Amino acid sequence: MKIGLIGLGNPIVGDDAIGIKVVEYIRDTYSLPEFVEIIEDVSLAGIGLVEIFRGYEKIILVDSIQTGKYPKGTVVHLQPDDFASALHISDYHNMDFFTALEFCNQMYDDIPKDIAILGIEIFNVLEFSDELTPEIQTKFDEIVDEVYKYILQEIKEEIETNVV
Amino acid sequence: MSGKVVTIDPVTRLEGLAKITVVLNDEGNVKDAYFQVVELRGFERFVQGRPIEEVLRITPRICGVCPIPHHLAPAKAADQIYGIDPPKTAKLLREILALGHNIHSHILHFYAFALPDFVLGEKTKPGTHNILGIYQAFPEVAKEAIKIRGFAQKIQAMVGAKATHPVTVIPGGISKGITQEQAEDILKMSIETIEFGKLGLKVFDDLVVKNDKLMSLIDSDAYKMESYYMSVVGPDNELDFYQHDTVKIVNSKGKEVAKYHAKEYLDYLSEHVEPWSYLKFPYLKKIGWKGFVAEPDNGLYRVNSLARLNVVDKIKTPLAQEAMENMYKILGGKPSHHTLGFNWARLVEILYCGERMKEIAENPDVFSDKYRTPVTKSMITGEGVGVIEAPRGTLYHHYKTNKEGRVTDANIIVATTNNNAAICLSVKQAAQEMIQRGQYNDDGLNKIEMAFRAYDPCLACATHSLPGQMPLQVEIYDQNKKLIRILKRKF
Repeated sequence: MKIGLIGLGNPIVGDDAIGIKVVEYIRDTYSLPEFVEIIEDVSLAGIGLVEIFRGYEKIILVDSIQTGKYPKGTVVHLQPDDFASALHISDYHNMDFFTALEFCNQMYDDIPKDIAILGIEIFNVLEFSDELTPEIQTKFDEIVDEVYKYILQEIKEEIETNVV
Repeated sequence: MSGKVVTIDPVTRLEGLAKITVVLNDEGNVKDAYFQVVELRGFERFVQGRPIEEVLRITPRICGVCPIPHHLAPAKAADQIYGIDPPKTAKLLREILALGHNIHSHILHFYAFALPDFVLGEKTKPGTHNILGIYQAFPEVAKEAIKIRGFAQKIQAMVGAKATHPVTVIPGGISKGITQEQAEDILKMSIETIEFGKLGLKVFDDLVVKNDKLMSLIDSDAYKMESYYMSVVGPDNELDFYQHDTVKIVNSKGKEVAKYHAKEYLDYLSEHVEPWSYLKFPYLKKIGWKGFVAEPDNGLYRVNSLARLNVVDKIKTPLAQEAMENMYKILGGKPSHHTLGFNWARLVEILYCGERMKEIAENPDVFSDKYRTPVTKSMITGEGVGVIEAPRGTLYHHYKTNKEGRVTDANIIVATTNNNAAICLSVKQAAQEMIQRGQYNDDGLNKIEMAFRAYDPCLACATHSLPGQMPLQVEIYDQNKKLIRILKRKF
């Protein structure tokens, strides 16, 4: 079993970096089994992102989301199926993650089926900054706890499954 | 009938970073069209006070799609700030990064976005009008495209240490060299890239050039615009992505109207501002701004693949030169004003990048250990302007620093900004053809999108890509800007 834990976002666009910062914090503060590999600093989208998944059996992706449906700082557990995909690509920059996933599944035989997304609701980010907004910063510890708990749960399931 | 506003919202992100708005007049014909981009703000303030060498590591994050140009252009500025000319090996390795990135970017743009527009057409099954459709229709070509794109990625990782966020380029050179074995590896991959470049042009010839309907689409007025063209050129006015700092501009007849060192760019470019757009509209200062019209006395210019080929006198590699000549023969001469011709020019450039990569890989200088000239604070000149040809066109990074090398002032003009006015005009032209007397359909809307897609525009780059993509949305407003109808494209 090899799990990839990915912190996704842009480290210079404020709250967009929340996924990166949470995964970095977990890497530096907590211990995780060797089968969890951490890729803490990924600023990619579309095919480039999905290609990183190759070779893992499970991916846990920690990213910012802006749905407007949840209070800021809420950690939402999502799966690819939760998203509606229009399957229409406007251009390279706007390649949809789920189209990329489907495409990569056709192209490669080592893309994991098991992909969990932990989305963290954030504020609108349109300004360059390497700091989180105060509102998200205040909730940072809670966010880390939520994400870490989820990871522990996943690890436990993996260990139990393997023992069985 | 009252005037209407039609908005095509093609963006993936929930907040919407770009959209197309088409304004109809009382007769239902197109009065105006806008391509609107929300730009990330505050870059100048963000880099202020930071050491210039740190800026080189920050700027690749500006864009999750084009990090390498944003590593190389500020590096050239940083060299000037330290008053240093990097050793030959460093220049070759940096050029490999630029070429690898162009191959990587052009392949994805052409095979995932341009080719489906050409060959899948409106009759394809819903949900297949994209790269998945190409994969199903032409599996061998798609597999080869993925393989060569993988090579380009590998080469970028070899030289840039990380394929995605390059870190090795530093003021005065590059922080690590490559081995002879790695150079041989690059050589092998470049040979395959050349073969793939030839295949791409053959595919284009078979599927597009030999198809009268598609050629007449390319040749239609909706997709033609006479403009000025800008590109970096080498000393013999040859195609060059990285090596030189000379920018050349030609007019719509192909005549040179300006040639300058990157440092002088502000003498040649001005920026027009519109209230409806966050993104500015650069234009040629000496010609002037006359609005969104394609006229010889309007200083609107274009960059990107076809603009580069329109500007250069030659390509110094034989196969790409031949492919370029053939393209102009079929398009009816040089310069070509065919907006969809940007896609064809990308294929010519993939071939060039493969050929040039091979030349570099065969040069023993590329694996020499003289890849860095040390720099010290005493050398600081305080200003530098780096210019390169990114896949989407000319990219300027301009920095001023204090004596400590800390940034006091910064200005970036990205390729899409250079093309901003032209994109708006191309969208308007296509809209005028596709929307008449208030009548339009999904195919017409897609053809409007094709116009802006041809430029491969680079939008604001916050990389959070969730929750997925918004369906294409058309908003219709009455003349008082009141929303009266929302149309969603069904897939």
